[in-house]
Amino acid sequence: MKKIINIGLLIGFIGLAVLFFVLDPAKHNIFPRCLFNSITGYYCPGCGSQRAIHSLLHLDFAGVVSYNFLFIPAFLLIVYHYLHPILNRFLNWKLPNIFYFKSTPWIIFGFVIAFWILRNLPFFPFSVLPPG
Amino acid sequence: MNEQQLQQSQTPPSNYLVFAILTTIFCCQILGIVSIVFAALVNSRWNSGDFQGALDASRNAKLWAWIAFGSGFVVVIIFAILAFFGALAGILGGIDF
Repeated sequence: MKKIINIGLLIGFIGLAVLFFVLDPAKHNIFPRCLFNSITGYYCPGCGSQRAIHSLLHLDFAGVVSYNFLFIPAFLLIVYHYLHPILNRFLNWKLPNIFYFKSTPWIIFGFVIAFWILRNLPFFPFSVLPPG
Repeated sequence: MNEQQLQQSQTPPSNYLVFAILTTIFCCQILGIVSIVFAALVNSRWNSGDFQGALDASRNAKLWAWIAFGSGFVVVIIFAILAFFGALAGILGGIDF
């Protein structure tokens, strides 16, 4: 049963990746809009993520950064989380599990809140942070 | 898992931080951030030796990450339904869409 769910999830992820590769969320309106942005008009820390995925799949890193500044750091953090046990096992490295450091969640919390506030400020240099 | 087993096992309960970050970035900032805060509590309580507290925070982190995911999922479904009927209305009305 678990195997079926995992295969289903894998197919779902590949399907989504193909969808986000083929269609540009900046041009097609079948992609859901951010609810927070629709209601308040302000940007949330996640706004631009769908366009960032499209840019990332096309290896347009400048586009990723311009749509969502925190997208690449978050992506690298999650890749590290899943990669470091594999590296430790096969290369005998001793990479720490940084997600269980005492201050890691608070640092992430601080970055998210700061980003949320800063990307809504209308003047330079923060005016480069909103997507699009 | 009871408290004694936890103390013996040496590994902190899962803090669901990856899940929390994903929900924060992709849909549901407010609920995702609640989950990040509980992840922080898991780590700090575990470090100070409060094993039961860490376990409670772990449960809450999981709960809020799932609430965030669920709310995002509902929004996507509603959006898909609206898009479907919008497209249908376009076809039936013979208007370009």
